[in-house]
Amino acid sequence: MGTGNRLWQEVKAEILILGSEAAGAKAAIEAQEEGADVLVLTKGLVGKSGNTVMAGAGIQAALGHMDPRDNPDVFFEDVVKGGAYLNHQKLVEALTNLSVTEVPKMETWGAKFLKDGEKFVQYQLPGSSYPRTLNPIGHRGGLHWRRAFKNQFKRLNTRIMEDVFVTRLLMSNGQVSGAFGISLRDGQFLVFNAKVTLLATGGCTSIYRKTDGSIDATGDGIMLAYNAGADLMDMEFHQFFPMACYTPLFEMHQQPGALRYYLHGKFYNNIGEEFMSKYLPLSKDWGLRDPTSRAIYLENKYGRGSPHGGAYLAVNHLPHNLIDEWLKKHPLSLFPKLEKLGINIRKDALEVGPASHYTMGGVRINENCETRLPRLYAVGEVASGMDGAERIDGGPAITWCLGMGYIGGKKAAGQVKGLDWLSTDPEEVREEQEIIQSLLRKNRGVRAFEIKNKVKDIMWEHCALVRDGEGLKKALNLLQMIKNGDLPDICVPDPCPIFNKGLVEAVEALNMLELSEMTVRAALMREETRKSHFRTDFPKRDDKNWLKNIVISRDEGKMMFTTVSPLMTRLKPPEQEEAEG
Amino acid sequence: MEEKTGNGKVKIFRFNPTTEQEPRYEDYEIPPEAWSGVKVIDTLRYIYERLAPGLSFREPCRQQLCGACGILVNKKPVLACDALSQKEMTIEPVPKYRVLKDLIVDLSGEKNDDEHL
Repeated sequence: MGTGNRLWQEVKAEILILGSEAAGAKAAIEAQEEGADVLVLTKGLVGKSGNTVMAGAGIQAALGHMDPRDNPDVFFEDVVKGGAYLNHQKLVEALTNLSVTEVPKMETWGAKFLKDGEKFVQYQLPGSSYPRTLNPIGHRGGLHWRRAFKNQFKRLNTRIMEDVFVTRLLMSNGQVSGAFGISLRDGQFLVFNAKVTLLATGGCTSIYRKTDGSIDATGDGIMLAYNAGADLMDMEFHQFFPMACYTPLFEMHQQPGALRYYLHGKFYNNIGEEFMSKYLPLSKDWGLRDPTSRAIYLENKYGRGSPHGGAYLAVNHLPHNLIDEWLKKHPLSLFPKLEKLGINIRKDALEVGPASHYTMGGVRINENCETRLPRLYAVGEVASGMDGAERIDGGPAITWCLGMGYIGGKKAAGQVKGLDWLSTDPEEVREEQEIIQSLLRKNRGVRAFEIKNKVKDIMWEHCALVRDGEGLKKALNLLQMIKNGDLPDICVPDPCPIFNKGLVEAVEALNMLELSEMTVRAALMREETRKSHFRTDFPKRDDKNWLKNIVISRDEGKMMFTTVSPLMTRLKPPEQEEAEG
Repeated sequence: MEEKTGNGKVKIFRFNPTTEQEPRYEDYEIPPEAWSGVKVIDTLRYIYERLAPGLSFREPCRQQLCGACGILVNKKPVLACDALSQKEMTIEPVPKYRVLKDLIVDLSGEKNDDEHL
């Protein structure tokens, strides 16, 4: 369409899914099973982008195969207690129930798990009452999920468009009518017209300097929803993984985590102390992710860190033949590579430390994965409510993706049957096209990667593991300076739209800046300490005033912050606060 | 002992099939810190940020997990996030796939993941 010359190409699909990995793939498959016409978009390649393919060893399901006392109710309790009661309990209930069917289904789709006869082998990891974490063979869950989804895509002949970067959700009389994007392969502008749109674009772990996630995770989908008028929630809560590799050349690799989870590795500081017991006297080296990360962060602050700002993680207390047997069973790629550098896990410690790992906050949804906007769903890490103030350890992320993909896919497929097509507003399309074209025309100024780097440093310095009012206010000022100083000059040096990294990074930088500001403002507002949100100036959890979610919405271009009570249908916090974390 | 000092010389395959008839090779001279003790992906990133803002390449995971950054370095197929940079490198897209732009190829014909390597 377009008046006069045809500037954009229209693509129709009953259900448009943004994001092709675990949550999006699952939603697509479930919707197609219901007979819906589905189109999946990804800004990269299927199975070669996002965080699913990077997933490590674990996926949780309340099967009770290793301990019959485990069931969805216990799982539910662990998740809600782990999230400090800020979770959407109806959503958690649905997801913990679905874990029992949807996780084993992955085996029938081609994923391979460690098994004991008919039973799945399940490990008990920190935060789980009973063994619940299934172990994909070889500790590379991502490869199994990728294979499983690709098998289904093939079987269902799923329509997928790769290298499509969506920059806006399109609206028609207050309802979402699809999206606007650019095909990075040929530079063509694309207008997607859909009866229903699902966001499955992941979190925004990239707003932090150190992250073990994909560089794709820039929160694009969260911003698409926010800009279109959906609510966001819990944006102050970000999870840090304490065992990212800090050894040069292998920075941010997640595999050292296996040494803690599956070989009971020990942490040391640079004076040889097993320091975790100082911070976590009960759980010690078996602590939850954020308190463990915080302990490493603080040891560094006191000058007791490892050379690259982390801690030492070692399994050298174990007999060599035990380690050898374990390595045979779990052929992780990192350890032989480290051996070539002279680092042998049988005797040497690895340098590990915190890295931004998962976004608890995101688009606010209900138990049907519906957002506030008609015809817009959000599934997977892009959404909020599953985790509350902290995602529990042990691998629920893919479990949530499967559950939410199931719910969202089925609901969307049911909904489209009774829906008419909406018309696309050409004015809105023209407006967005002009925004992108003007970026492509602006060839001199501040590069997007420079803005990204500044944002990442500010967030890491002031709004990561340890926060206080003063630092957060400073962060806010620094972000404002970027907004007022750098942003008006943001440029895309190369005008060619095809695989234009500068263009993609410019939009991502805008998204990251906004999401960072939301994180800082919400963190400043929450004057307490709760799980992943740790304020030195408000060190106690305050259930009296802060048993609340912070909701962020856009009102005439401004960020509006309000609080709501979490949906507590089954479990309420006890009078006595938990002893740790 | 391998040499670790001096400027590196990197030759990169550049091609925009929508506007150009033929691919070309561009030469980039980079300081030691941009090639010594870093991965090829870091060198590409350096060149993109300082010397060739229009350079197209993939770099999603940087942990040898996704396989998207597969390229040829001195005719050898590698993951850019895995291979160490060398002082003199010729960097090209993996062969047998249609080039979409510079180091990015169309992998949609790939039967198995990582087949391109």
